[in-house]
Amino acid sequence: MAVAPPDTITDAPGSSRPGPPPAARGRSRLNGHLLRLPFYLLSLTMLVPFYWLLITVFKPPAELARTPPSFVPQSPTVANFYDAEWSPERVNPGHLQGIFQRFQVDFGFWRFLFNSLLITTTITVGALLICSLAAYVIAKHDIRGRRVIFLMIIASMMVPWQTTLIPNYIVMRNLGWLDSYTAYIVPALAKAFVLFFLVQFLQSLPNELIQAARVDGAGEWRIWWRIVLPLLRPALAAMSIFIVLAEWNNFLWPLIIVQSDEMANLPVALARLNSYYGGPDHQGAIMAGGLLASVPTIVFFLVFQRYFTRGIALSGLKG
Amino acid sequence: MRRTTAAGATVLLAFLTSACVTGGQAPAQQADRNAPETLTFWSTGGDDETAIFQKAADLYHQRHPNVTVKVQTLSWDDAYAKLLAAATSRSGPDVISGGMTWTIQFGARGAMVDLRTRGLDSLKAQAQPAQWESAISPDGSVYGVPLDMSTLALYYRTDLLDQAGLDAPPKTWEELTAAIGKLKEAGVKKPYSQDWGNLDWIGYFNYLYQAGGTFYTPDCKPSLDTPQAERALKYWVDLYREHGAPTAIAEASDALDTGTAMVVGGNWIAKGIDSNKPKLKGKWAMTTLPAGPAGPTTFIGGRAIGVTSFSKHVETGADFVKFMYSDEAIAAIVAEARNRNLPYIPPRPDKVVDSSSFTPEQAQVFERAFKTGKAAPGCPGWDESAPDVSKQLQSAILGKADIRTALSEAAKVMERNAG
Amino acid sequence: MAHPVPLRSRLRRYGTSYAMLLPFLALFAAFLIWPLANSLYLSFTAFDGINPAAFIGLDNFAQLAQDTRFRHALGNTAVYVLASVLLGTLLSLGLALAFDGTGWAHRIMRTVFFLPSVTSSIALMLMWKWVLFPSDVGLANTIVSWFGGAAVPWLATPGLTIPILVLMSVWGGMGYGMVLYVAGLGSIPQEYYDAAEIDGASAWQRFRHITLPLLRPVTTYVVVTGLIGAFQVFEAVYIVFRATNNVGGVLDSGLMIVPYLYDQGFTHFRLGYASAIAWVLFLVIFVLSLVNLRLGRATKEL
Repeated sequence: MAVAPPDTITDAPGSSRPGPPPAARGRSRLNGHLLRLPFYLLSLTMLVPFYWLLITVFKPPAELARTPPSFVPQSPTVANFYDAEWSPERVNPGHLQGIFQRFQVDFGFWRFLFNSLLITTTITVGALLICSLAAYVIAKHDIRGRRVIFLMIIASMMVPWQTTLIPNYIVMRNLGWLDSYTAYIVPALAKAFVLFFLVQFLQSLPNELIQAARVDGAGEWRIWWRIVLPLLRPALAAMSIFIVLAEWNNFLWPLIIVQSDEMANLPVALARLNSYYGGPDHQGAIMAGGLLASVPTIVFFLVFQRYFTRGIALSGLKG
Repeated sequence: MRRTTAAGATVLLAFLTSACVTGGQAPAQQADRNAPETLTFWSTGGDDETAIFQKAADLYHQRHPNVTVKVQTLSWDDAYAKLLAAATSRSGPDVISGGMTWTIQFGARGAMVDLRTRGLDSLKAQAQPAQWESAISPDGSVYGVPLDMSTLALYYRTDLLDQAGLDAPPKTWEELTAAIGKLKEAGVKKPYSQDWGNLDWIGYFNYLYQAGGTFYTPDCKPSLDTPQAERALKYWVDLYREHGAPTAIAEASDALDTGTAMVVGGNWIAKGIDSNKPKLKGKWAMTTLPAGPAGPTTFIGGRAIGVTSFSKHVETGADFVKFMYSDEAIAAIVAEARNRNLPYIPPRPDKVVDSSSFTPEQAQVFERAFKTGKAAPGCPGWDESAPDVSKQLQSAILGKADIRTALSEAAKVMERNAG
Repeated sequence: MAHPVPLRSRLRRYGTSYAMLLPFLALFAAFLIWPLANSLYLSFTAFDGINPAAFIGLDNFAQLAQDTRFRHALGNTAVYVLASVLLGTLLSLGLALAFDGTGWAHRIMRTVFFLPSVTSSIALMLMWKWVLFPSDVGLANTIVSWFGGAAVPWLATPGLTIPILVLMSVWGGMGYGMVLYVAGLGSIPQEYYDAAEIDGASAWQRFRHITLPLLRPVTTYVVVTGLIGAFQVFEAVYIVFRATNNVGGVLDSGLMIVPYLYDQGFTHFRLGYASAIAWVLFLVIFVLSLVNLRLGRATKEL
């Protein structure tokens, strides 16, 4: 089924879709605002928890423990990020560590932010390069065995990755890779669904450019780098969004391979923080950590928004 | 068809080659005595606690300039899994701390050093007897020694008790239930709740021992089929079902702050009330748990510390563990704990009152609890059984099973895991 | 590529082809195919991570069939999966129908519902845990108190565990399904509706006979990926419901397949047994995936 690129989530009207504006279309849409009312109400249930998170971040510890809770911070503060009045040297009632003062590792919270950024970026770039190379061969080279290979890759998409959790853990252990960036990155590079998507995308593209380059005497590596990669750009953008979100949120694998404090990624570090500080007064710093952990993905989304929904749509509807 | 065969063949080949998983690793070597050594100490708890133990480590470094001890945090949630993984892979830390009986389990897997071989059984004279016993393996091996102590206390709101005409906190089970009734009559909505041990075996531990029961017989057979065990569970379940103790776990100082009259909580709660809940100043007090028919026995918790068998620095590690019992190490830890307003009770009963990070009045309450207290059973399979035992207790509390069934199911689990 | 090419240059080109495939294939074999086969092998063994794995045939699977915790985990998972996928799909479709326009109100609504999909998932879990805080300081209990209710122990009431997990899943996932459905709606030619309207079809008939059938591929995708995702739930249980050394929450009320796998594998180090659980998960998901026609069609195209 062929799909016209949909409008993105917050795109300007009519920017990407030809034809009459949808408002004029007579499809069986729920007519009138009355029918939409329940969904508008539903949107409140979306916003209220986020609002709760946001106000928590800006409330001082004493206010967090107050009942009934305040719905507008009474004395807004950034102490949950960094509290200059907190000191490890003396007790200062009413002051707790901000999120940047919390962890006993060099650079504290920044370290986990760095880890998450490093891991996510490396995996995304690495996976796209490796998968696009293989996709180019499978889609455009007439070599023996490519059908078998592609079939196996498709079949492997039905494997929940948790099935490989234990053997991969043992491999990491026996290789001495536990607690290293290598253990985060290397097993995550060969992504079947990325390859599958890129092959499909390439198959829908004509061969002329590639053939012309071959006639000009360009080598295959050069063709891949100079022609295939640029052609794949929208597909790579779409896939990068999937990979970034998945790796940024990865939890179970890091939980297993991380041993030392400083190798945790953001989810593992925040989970650890949360498991120790259960009281309401600590929730401000914990939520501040959650908020900071969300900033990169939200920014990434805003920048790549157009590819985002297109990617979702393409991956969901092709074939 | 052909590609299916080929794919099948590949999978089969992979399957066959995969049948050779390797297991053990080469044993660690002993390093030269005066060479620079860096020890890793995985400390179960919070980052703040890591900081206080780091002070002792720094002091050790001053005394032995060639040795650096780096303390790392493991959170209680995943500490057992992490330590077990390290134990099975024979790689990771040199020194570990964790739940009282954990080192027994890791020791049984050959991952811990028997500290008797380094002369650390001498620490027994300094330790609290019941806690020491809990850290010792059934065969007598000393894979870990106590690192600190913790216990429970009854915290109460003096103003609310006054309001109900109670001039003293309850001292026995009967007085406790009577007090709950009186508080309710006086309009106190939340008379009683439990923080540490709520819905958990630690909560039951107190009632069980106060009724004269135990989890295991001295030779480590499950002993939950006794009338004492039944009586204890009946009383505990009634606290929830008849007397309205909440099943939700609210942190004790929060509970007091939000109008709960009496709360059972960990000793560490005493540390934060005045600084974090200024409203409660002068309105709260604490005492030991109400005694049962067999006495006031209270759970003694804490962490055990031990040295891993795969460490390259066993000798130094054992010396560091011993150092943690020295007056100067305890002083360094306590000083830092006071700075940070953190709870810390050294594993030496003689130090509880004058060298914990609590006020002498508070520490005296704990000292009383330690005198008659008992610690977790150091029987094989206990740590594996504990979550399932808790689950059986929960089903009795939540009315999903009757008391006798819950106890016999719990005993079955303990039997099975005893191996 | 029908041009005849000299043998040598063909070899050279094929050599390059295999070289380009190599990085992917090597990683793919090392971290997917081999571990998969290995985990199948381990599922027939008793393996504690120290001693060599001992072959015990089907014992692990026989034990799984008897294991009440595992059956409990399967039951929980089934209820969770069904409820979250059904509710999630219905709401996704409803939202897409309600907000598929290009006006600002619709765009804002789509953004609002999509927000959880781009928020760090750990932040959402911690947020839920705080919303459901047991005492009166929590948001949920504050709302309950407005209606005169007493504080509810949300995370310690076994009967509420699965509903809360379903709520979290639906809340976080319906915006994603909505975007898929909006894309699907956008690809339905307007002429169909125009023609139907001329024939006097009612709004419901148009929905029933045009929109719904043409959205079927989207629905298949939303349902299948939803099922697969739901079967793999771990983080929500682990972060929000677990207690120390007890992965499934009060009375195991939140125990599901992957949390149980983690529990057996990494807190008990019964690696063989955990591998058997992993293979049960694999079989369940494999069967579900076969339903996904998308894959079948893709292989035919090649």
